This record gives sequence, structure tokens and C-alpha cells, in this order.
Amino acid sequence: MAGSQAISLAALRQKLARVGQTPVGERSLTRQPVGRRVATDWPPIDALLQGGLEAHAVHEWIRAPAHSPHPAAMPPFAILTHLARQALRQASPIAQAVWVGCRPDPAALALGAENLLDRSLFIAISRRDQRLAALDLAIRCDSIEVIIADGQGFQLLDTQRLNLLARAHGVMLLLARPSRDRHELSAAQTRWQVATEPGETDAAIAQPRWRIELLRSRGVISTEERPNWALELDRETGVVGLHTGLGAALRETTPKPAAAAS
Amino acid sequence: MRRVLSVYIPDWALRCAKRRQSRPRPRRECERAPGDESAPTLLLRETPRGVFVADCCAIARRVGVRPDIGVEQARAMLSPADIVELPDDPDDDRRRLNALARWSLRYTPLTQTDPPDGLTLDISGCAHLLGGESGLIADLLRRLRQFGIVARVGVGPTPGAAWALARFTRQRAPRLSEEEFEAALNAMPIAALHIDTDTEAALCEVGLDTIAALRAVPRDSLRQRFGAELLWRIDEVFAVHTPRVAALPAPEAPRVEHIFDGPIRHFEIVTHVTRDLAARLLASLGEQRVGVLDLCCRLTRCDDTPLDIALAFSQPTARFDHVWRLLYTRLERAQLGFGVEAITLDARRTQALRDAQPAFWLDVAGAMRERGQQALGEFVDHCRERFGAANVRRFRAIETHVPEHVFQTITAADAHFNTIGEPQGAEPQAGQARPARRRSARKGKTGALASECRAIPNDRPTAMFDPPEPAQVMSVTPDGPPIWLRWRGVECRVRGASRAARVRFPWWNDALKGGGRDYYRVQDQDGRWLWVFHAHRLNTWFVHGEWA
Repeated sequence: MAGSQAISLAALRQKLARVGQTPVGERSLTRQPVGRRVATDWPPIDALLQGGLEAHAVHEWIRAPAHSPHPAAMPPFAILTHLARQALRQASPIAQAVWVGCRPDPAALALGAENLLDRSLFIAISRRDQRLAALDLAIRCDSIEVIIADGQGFQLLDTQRLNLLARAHGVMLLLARPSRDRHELSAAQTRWQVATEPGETDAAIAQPRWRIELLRSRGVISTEERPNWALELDRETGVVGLHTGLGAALRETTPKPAAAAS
Repeated sequence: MRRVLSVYIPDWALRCAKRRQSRPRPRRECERAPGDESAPTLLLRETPRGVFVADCCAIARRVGVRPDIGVEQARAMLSPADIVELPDDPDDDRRRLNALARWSLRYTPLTQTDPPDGLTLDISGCAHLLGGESGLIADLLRRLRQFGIVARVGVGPTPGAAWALARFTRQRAPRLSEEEFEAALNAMPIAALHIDTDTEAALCEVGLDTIAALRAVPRDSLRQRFGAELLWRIDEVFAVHTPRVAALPAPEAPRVEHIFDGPIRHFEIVTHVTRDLAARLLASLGEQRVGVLDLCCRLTRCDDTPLDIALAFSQPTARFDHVWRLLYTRLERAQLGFGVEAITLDARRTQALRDAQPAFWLDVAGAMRERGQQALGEFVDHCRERFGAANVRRFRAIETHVPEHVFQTITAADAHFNTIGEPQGAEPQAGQARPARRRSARKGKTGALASECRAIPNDRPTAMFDPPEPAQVMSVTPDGPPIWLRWRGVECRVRGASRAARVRFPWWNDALKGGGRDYYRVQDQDGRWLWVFHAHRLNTWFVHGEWA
């Protein structure tokens, strides 16, 4: 009896001591420590980026001009959804994702083993000033871990401010920008360019494929001038993985079952 | 035919007094627990003339203690060492009776209190929901017993008849036929008419002790001698006329108000007063552990209609900082006109706050949950205020083969907005759509993926166009897949296309033009995957989405 009382008192003292170290009001209970990396689940990219994308920074994804039917076409949301899923997987169970843009589309979120719909909030706005205001509010919210936003029309000052806010409040911000914004200066931690890439012609086995190119990453030294990789969307699982070519070769060489006699 | 149920709780005041006391105040040092039924209990009322007995328990009544006798006289009749004395509080008794009446709204919407110790319920058309009148009465008595309340009920065609049956019959819940009903009423004493004590005493003086004896007297004589109200009571008991049972008045919303001596045009003064009012209102709500969901700030202007500033919150909140930040932005845009004469703050809709201990007493996960939900709720409130509730959305997947209806949009104005994300696997309530289940692809006999033949989330593009965008298509056969298409002014050569997946829509859905559709997944020369369909009725092609 006395022993258990001593144990519980000791645990209570520890708890109070922990509380005394940091004021409750200033403690962020949902955010991860600064400097954390979000693994993309693409091994060569993670290796180049020293573990993954920086969790508390702005990352831009720009549609390649040669492969966009319109200057305002946005980069593929499947890739951004994959990254958001990775960020939420490493965060606390209550962390939420926020989508800021004019045409919220939940289709990508419903794919895959993890349904992100329940952890996603959509702010359907189109004006630049409204989007910046929404991002300001979202970054300051404790329970939001990752934000995917329409970044068209953002200028250097906007991305600088967003980057500083993201670092201060511990949020990962993924900006989707059309090809016409590729010449805009930006303070994003990384800048990526995305282009569609033709895949197999057999629609029964072909998967959507893209080629991503790392335009810029602070603190990263690469032997290639612009490292690039091919990504492929698995329509069944919603996972965006590296396209190595082996999977396609396997699918092509696997004999198809004979058609059933009708 | 109307049916009215009267509930009579004989020791209501005593029961309320016992609940008020954590322990009774004994006359001597020996103390007894409030629920100790073996001790005689007196309910005392203090008046300028002295302390009198307001009510007493059955043990005290047996020895002759009655209401309105002096406390010393009552003490003399009882054993001094055993008496439990409790103070009377009629206001609290009335408040508790109102709460009980509000609870009994589960049986009928027409409920009113029958002070000091009863309820009247109009159960016309409601009894069948609980298996008839006997089922309703049994349920009511059982639930009251669970509260520790022993009650008697009576059912009749009028409130007066039900009142009489509840108080003056031997059975706890008498069930009488029409013949028995009239006979039972006739045999009752005149106190069953619910008349004042002076009239009752006067009637007893002249030998009219029962209702039957009273009815035998000519009506004109009774009217002349005792007034029209006596006849009205008799007619009510015997259903000659049936007064209505009024519904309970809605509880008043918490409100604070400030009235100026004259019109005020200075924005700083209006802001200062509004801030004080908000702080007071939220503090009083916080003390009751209640949060506001809908707040209305009314500025009564001297030269114009009152200006109402309505705020809605996604979660009940009593946090002053959050409420004031939203209210201040609206006040800044308010037109004060020639001055504001009064400011009123109404909490029109409230909800109980969750009991949350200070964060440092919870474990880390619990503290995170509480803080996270609060932070998200405040973020949603700010977005609603700035961008409109319709632009703050969540989506829920619905199990349907209609591609346009797979995702149900829930805006911040919707009552279900905050329930998204509840544990999976819960059975949907009646009337709710069934949430979609994930389906893994199955291989059919032909080796093709079975999911190609159904428009389900796994087979849907990652970006859908609403509405579908028209396209011009060339195909080898009329029902075949496209080999070339022009979409958004750009021509695309098709490298590969899947087999058709036919979708048919409900015949009653006029909004979905085209009847049936044949969907194809096509890849253009740049590697872009599009979801294209041919609408049968319109004989037109559309692009519905893209794997992007």
C-alpha cells in the first residue's frame, strides 16, 4: 500500500515537473519537433533529400509547360495527396489536412488503404487574397499538419511569408502552381516540375505515369543538374510509387488467363 | 376523444428538500442520512409570524402533524431525538418541477406543470407509440421510480377529471370504463373539484361532502351561493367543456443587455460595452458548463431598425478571446447610424460543454485530443466568418454507382459537419445514406479487373470535372472506344483505351441527362489518362475526369 502510494506520488511529481518546464498555453501538442523530415516513400528521392521533404516548409509543384494543355493547368493532385498521406501517417491521429483552392476534389483522397476524407477539410475559394488569408489561418491552427493549396499567382513575398509561418508553426505546405508561374521567384524549400509521361498502351494494365524533376532544393547537392524520376499511380491502392520498369516488364510477360467459354 | 394524464407526486416538496441537502440539519447532534425513511421529516417555512410546517412525511402525519401548524407544536407531537428538519424552498421546487415537465416531453409535446406537486400531460394521439395508455403509464411510472419518485397517475377526458382520479382513487393508476368513471367521480369528496379551501369549507358546512351530493343541488342555487367557478369546475370534471393543456414555454435564452442614457455614436464606447457584455455572458455560461453555438448581438439604433450581428460556432464555446475576435470584426463593419441606444447579447442556442479537466491532469493523448478539437473548431469558425459557411466543406463517400453522387458535400452550416470522422463500422441511422466501403479489385474469369465494370471509387479518376466537359470524339465503331478526341480546344490522339463500363441511372433522376453512359479510360499521346463517356440519350461524348 505504501509502496503503491509512493509510486503514484512519484509519477505525479514527474508530471508536474514536466508541466512546469513549458507553459501549457505555449506548448504545441500536435506538432512534431522542428527539423523532422517526411519520408516520401521514394527511396532515391529520400536519400537525396536526407530523409525526405522537410516537414515544416513550403514545397512547390509546378506543371511542366510542354505537357499542359492550358497555361493554368495544375499539377497532378495524386502526387500531392500521396505526400499528404505520408505526412499524416507520421503525425498524431488527430492531425488534419486542409485543402485550399477553387475546385476541391475529394476523389484522390478516397483511394488507397487509408481514407483521408475524414481527416480533410476543404476551403473552396479562388481569389489570391482569400487563399493567402486561409493559409495564414490554417498554418496557425494547432491541429493542422499539412496544407495543400492552389498557389497560382503567389509572389516571392507571399512564399517568403508562408515559409516563415510554416517554420514557426510546424506545418508542411504543398503549393500546386500552373506552368505559367514557373518563372515566378519563390522562397519555397523545394521546387518540383511535373510532366505526364506516356505509359503502356494496354489500358488493362497501364497506370498513369509522371516524371518529376527537382528544380531546386536548399541544402541539397546533386550530381545531376536536374535530377528526375518517373512516378506511377497504382489505381487500385492510390499509392504513387517510383516507376522502375520492372513492374511493367513483369505485367507484360505474365500470360493472361484464357478467356472463359461463353 | 381527448385523453389527459395527471401525475401526482405526494411528497414532492419533501423530496426536493432532501435532494437540496447533502445532509439534513438535525435538531440534536445525532444525524440521520437524507434517505433515512425511518426518521420523521418536517419541511419548515419561515414567515414573519414564525416558523411553520410546510409539509411532513407519512410518519409525522400518523401522529397528527399537519401543514401550517407551528414547529413547536409539531416537535411536541414527535420524538425530539428523531426529527429531521429541512428548510422549504418553493422556488427551487417549482424549478425542479419545470425540469421534470421538460423531461416528460418525451411522451407528449403538450405538458404543463400542475404546481405544487404534479404534472398534466395531454396524451391524445400519443399513447399508441408506447403500446396504449397502459403501456405509457407503466413506462412513466417505471422511469419515475428510477429517479426515486413514487407517483400516482390518473387519466381522463379533461385535466380536472384526471387530477381528481390521480389524487382521490385508491389505485395508483386507475383504469376505468365510462360507467365506472362517472360513478367514481360522483363518489369523490368535493376536494376533488380542486376548489379553494374557503368554498370547500362552506360546502362541507351545509352538508355537501361529495360530488354526487353537489350535483343534486340545482345549478342556479349553486351559482348564486358559491359563484360560477364552482359550476365551471363541475362541468370540467364531467367533460362538459375541456380546457386545453398548454405547452411548456420555451426556456429563455441567456441574455445580457445594456441600455444607454442616450444615443451613442462613438465606436470605442460601443465596443467597450459590447466587450463587457460578452465577457459577462460567457462567464455565466462557463460557470454552468454551457457553451454558445449561436450568438446574436443586437444594436438598437435610434434612427433605424435594430442591427443584428449573428455569429454561429461549429462547437460550443465559452472562450471569450475566440468569441470576441469574431464579434469585433463584425462590429467594425457595423453602421451605427445616429447612435446606438441599447446593446443586447443573446445566446440563442447553447450546448453543454464537455467536462474537460485542465490539460496537465490528462494524459498527453487526451490533452492533444481536447486541444486539437478546440483549435480545429476555432479555425472552422474563422473560415466560416471570412469565406462563408458554404465554402468550408467536408466530403463523405456514399455507396452509389452514379459518379456525380459518390461524394456528399457537407458544409460548415450543416449539423453533421462535426460528426465526420466518427469511428468506422457504425450502423447508419434510418434515413441516412450508407457510407461507401472500399472494394478491392477482383480478377474475373477473363483476367480483366472486375472493377472496370463498375463506377466505384477505386476505378475513378483522381480529379473529376463538375459538370462533365464536352468533347469531340472519333471511334472506329459507333459503340467502340475513341481513337481521337478534341477537348478544351486541343486535339489528342488516343494511344490506348479500356473496355466500356456501362452505367445506368435511376429512371426517376431527371437531373442526370443521357440515361445510360459508356465509360472508357483513354490515354493520349502525352501519357495523360482521361475518363471519357458516351451519353446514350444525347449521343454525345464528355470528359468526366482525369487521373492527375
